[in-house]
Amino acid sequence: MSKFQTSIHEYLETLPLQTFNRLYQKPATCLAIFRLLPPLGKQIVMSSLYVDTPITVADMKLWFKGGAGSAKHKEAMQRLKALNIFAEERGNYTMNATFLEQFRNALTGGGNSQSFGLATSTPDKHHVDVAFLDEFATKQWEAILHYMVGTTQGSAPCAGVMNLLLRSGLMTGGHRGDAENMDVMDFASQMARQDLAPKITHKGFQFLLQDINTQVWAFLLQYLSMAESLNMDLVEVLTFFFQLGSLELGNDYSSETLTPTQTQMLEDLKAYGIVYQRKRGSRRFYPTRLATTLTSGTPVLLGSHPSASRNAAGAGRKSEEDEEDDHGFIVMETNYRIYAYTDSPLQIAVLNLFVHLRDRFPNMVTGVVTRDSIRRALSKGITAEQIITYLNAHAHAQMRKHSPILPLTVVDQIRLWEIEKNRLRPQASWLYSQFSRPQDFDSTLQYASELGVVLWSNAKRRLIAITAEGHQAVGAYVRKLIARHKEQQAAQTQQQQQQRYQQPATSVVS
Amino acid sequence: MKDTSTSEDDSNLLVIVIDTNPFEWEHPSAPLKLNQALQHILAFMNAHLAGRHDNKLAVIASHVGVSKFLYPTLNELTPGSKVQTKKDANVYQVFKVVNDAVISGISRLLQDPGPTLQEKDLGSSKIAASLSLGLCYINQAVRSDGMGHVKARILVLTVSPDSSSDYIPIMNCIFSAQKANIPIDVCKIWGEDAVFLQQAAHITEGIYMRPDDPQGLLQILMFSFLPDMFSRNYLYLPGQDQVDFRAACFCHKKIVDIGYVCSVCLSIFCSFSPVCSTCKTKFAFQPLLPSARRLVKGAASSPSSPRPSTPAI
Amino acid sequence: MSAMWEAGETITTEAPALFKKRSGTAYLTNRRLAWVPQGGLAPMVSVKHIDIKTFFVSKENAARVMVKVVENRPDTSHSFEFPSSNAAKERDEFKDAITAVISARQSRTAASTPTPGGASPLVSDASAPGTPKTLMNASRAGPSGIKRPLNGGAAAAELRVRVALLTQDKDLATLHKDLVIGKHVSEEEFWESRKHLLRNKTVMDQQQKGQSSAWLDLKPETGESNDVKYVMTPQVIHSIFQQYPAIKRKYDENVPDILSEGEFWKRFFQSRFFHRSRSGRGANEPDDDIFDRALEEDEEETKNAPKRMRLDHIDKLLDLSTTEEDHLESYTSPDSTMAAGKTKGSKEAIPLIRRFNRYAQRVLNSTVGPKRPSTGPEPFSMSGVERAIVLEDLQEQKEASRIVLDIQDTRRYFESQGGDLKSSKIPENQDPADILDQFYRDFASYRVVLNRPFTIPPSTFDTLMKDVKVNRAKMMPPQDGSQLLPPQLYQDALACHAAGNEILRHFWSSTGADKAAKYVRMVESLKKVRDENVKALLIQASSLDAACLDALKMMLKPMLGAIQKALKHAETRPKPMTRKLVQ
Repeated sequence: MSKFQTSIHEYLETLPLQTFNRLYQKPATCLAIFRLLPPLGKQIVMSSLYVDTPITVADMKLWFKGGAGSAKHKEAMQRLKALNIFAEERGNYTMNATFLEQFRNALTGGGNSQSFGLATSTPDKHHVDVAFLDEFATKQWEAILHYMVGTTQGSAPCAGVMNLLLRSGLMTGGHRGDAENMDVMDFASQMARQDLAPKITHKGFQFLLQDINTQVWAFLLQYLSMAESLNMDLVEVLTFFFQLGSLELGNDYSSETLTPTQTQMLEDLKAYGIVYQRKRGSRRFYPTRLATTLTSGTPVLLGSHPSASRNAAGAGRKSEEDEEDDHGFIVMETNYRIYAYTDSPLQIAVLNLFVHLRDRFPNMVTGVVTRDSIRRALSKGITAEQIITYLNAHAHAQMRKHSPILPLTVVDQIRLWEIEKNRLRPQASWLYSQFSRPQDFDSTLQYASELGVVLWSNAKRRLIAITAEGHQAVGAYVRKLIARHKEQQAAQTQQQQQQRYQQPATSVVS
Repeated sequence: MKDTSTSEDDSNLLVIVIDTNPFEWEHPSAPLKLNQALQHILAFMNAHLAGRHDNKLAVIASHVGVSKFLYPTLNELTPGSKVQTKKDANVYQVFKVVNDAVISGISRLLQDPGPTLQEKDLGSSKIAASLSLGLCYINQAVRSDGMGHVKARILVLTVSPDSSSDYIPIMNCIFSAQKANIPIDVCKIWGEDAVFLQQAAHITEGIYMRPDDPQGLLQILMFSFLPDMFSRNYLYLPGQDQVDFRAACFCHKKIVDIGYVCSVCLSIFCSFSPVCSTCKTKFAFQPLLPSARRLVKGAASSPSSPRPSTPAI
Repeated sequence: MSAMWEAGETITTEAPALFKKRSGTAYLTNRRLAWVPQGGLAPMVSVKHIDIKTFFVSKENAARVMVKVVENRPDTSHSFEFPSSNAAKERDEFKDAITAVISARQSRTAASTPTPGGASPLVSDASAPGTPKTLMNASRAGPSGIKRPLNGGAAAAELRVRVALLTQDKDLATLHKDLVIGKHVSEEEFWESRKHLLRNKTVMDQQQKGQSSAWLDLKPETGESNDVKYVMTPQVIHSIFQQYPAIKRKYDENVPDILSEGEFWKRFFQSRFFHRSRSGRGANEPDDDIFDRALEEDEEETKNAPKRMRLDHIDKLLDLSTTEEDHLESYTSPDSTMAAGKTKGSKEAIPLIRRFNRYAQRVLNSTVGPKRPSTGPEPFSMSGVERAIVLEDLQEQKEASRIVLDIQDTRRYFESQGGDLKSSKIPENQDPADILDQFYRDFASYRVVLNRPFTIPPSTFDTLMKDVKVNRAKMMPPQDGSQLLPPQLYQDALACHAAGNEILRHFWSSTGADKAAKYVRMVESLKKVRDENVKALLIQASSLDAACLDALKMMLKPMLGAIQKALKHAETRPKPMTRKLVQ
């Protein structure tokens, strides 16, 4: 499951049941949410979709093979329940009635919700083709990214985008002032003063390395959280997102069926390059590639496509396979050298985050990955995994012929450099000490290790470090020990005491 | 040829072969009409396409006398000339394109009875031809993918009985599919078991089913035939995997446990005859015990001459 | 057939016997088995001892008391019936006598053959010098499946092997007990199907440890007070002899007549010969006439390059020395880099190189065997040179002669594969074109409406669930009988199963015409297994509990089915047995 799906999931799972019930009223939304499910979750839905009797928990368990199968089952069921698609009651699984009905409608085209987008009835006088849309989307989206990395290309994005960037914490304002409360006008005036221009944050750097789908969704989710404060209906916003995902690239759709909220959204989405509208208030809009791939999970090849605009302007629409072929531009050698065939300032700026760039040519840059360059990136909060994923995703077609795509030495070294940074790992824990009797120590240790909560122990000094989660159980156990002990030795005044110190112990992880 | 590893990020190419044999569908005892069945099948196709954005579908009609692609149609294969279908805001466009293509394709197929009437073997569906088309299509799709992300499978929805003249072509298809790791799922919607296709499913590790009640076709398709190759690793599916491998003798079509096998063409006979009736090979010796049909072990004949050897059990 | 009594022949056993329904007397002499018809003088039947392959005796309580002697010549056997009142005793006498004869012959064969390591007894039989006839017979009997004339009293050696096998393998012993001691199959039949076990065992027993191929490295053990000690084991001495043939010669000449063995080795270790190839201790060895001579001889040998082996036997393509003269063209002096002992540096090295070569040769001999003169005819009757320069790939492929598969009617051929096939029935009275037309109209008039609700019978899901459960059960690891049955019963059941299968195997292998008697016996045994052994087990199980009984029934079901099938086969089969035996 790719990253953006996880983030939508996380978002959706916070929503209350009522919201889900409203969301599921649109077949397009049902379909989009269905596509976010893990494969076996999809299969469970499909298998039960036309079963009218509730399925018993025991029966469904039988569908899955033991071991890996039941693990998958558990995972899938957890998702399904979190999304309120399934509910478990009295040993039966029942499917959410709204979802059931509307998802059946999605498959068979029933109902009259018009959620898959109403096509315009008349041909557009100013019809635009796919190439134009691609160029438009690229221009808009890259403008945002350029702004983030601070390259001067293009104009500064509009206020809405700026607001979003600041609120999502991808950039911070020039002064310590709270971006949340910042008024748009206020912000614009700050922009005028160069020294207070917003700076990219750690989160922003991480953002840059993600694939474009994740980026778009991060933006949209931020938009959602803002929508609530702007008194926009969450369900309508989400429904519109999912509807956009089901539209067809290169077609124009009528904005007549949209609610006022959704019409208002068009303006914002245009700024991100997700939809194209010739002029404000136009009755038709075009989804761009960013929109149509929203729910697909396949990487869009826009932002990472330095030559997109060139190609778009060129002879004609390239077939999808061609684009697949040349979206990679990085060649990485086992000697840590990197050759990046790109002239996009954005790409170069991103590379500059973790590569020590050496030479620059009209169509390529060369550089080398060094310990310093990686540490610089790490200190910005970028993880080794993100760097590797980025390199993997943008590897040149020549590199893709090898397996693994990246040289192992380099990948390992980058990970090692990261581990180098993390030699110490703090973990909250409880230290149990001063066991008066060895058998107390032994039985406590045994009990704790059965629970799997022992971090460290020393028999000589009778010390046990217990994880924070394990403290409750172990503490109760020790108290019981003491109590029993006291009973036994009630006659004797001698008191055994076990003291517990709460102290954040630092366990050393090598 | 291919690695058999599956991942949840694979895109699935499903090739559906629909048997449109008019003589079966139009038979008075048929429990389903073709258009009823199609409703189920189309919903199933949509379910497959709904699974993933990059799931692909191809539909082939196996008619009497002719076998034809219903989707993608020839127009679809050449880029740039998409069939314009009327849009409907209530239907996901991807589904609609496929559904319309399938219905209009079948309609056109039925409109022209010419090829069907020219067919010598009236009443036998072109399953083998459809399988070949499907395999070729898959081959092309897998090759152009190049990354090994496309996992293909074939689903045969059939109502016709086996046609004996199809045996060799079907077997060839089966072995090609096996070599390319393409499972062939078979749903014999009603009627007797289709033995050849049973073997196809068995050899290619696909699923074979003959539902008791074809009215619930959609449920069966969704439950048994929808899971992709990745999910199948984790599921128990209701396939029927017993295959009748018993051999019948060529002379009387009796099922035999022990019989005589021609050493040249492997025809099976329940009793000895000096000339193989299938390939006309002459056997220049007498079996040791001509009186009873029984197992002859290590017959003492010179190794070069044909002799009855290991019995078929 | 008939022959006069030979000189020196003595009769060991005799008894009145019927042969081909004629009365007469059967004799067993020290040379042969003979039968003389009543009133006749010369024996009509005469079988030399070595021609007796095996023999059969009728059952204890059979109506007629008979002995059947099978000759090594294929399909030749003689049946004698003992008509007298104490026939059983007479028959036993004959049985014992013939058994003795055969076993004596067997042990003779075995004893006269020094079995070389690794050779199978079969090979050793064939190479035994004293028994050319056995050899012939054995090879003649080969194709029909009987490789070894063996019966009644098995050769002592084989008996030993059998006993060893039985003590080694507990399961086999149980089976043996059940089958042989339970009189289901004879001892011979039991082992007949386990020849490979016997052979393996014999081979394993006879395997000798090969000589060590380790490089001899004589290292002294340095004890206290700096004295040097060499430990001589037979192994070490053997290695020394192998690596230094000169020492071997000296040893043969001098020990023990002139020198004691200890003295010999002591002098050896002090000699120049010994220290020659070792560094450091060059010249201070005392003179020693024996070993100095050995050294001289050794060096003499070294100097004279080994006599050219007969060059005509050397492959011209491989002999490097034949190309020596080729180098003259490019060098002013002959190129002697490859010639032994001609350069200065190689002189010292040569003894060592020799030693290495001798060693290498020995290792090779022990692994691939000594170089043999090429055996068998040349595959293409080409000379060596020709064979080396002909490239097979460039030769035209010869078409293998084969019978071309020519199937007359493919349709018929494959019909049987599909079981009972019938293609779609088109009603007789209808025109196919009409059906097609009707079909099209039906299809066109009822449009496919996708969003009409489906009516799916609830039973569908239940059926699917049932199928899932069935498939699931199939994939579950089957429960082992060992968990379901008490251990003792489980063991008994296993033993019964093994015995049943063994008898079944014997049964099916005895369907041949020549084994009719065994066939009948096996039928009886099978019935006995079914009616006694299995029943006993079931009774035992039913006394425990129902689950146990079911489990046992499940376990034995396949075997019982197979027995049933076999018995059915026996019923339908004509009974040639009586006819055959009487002849």
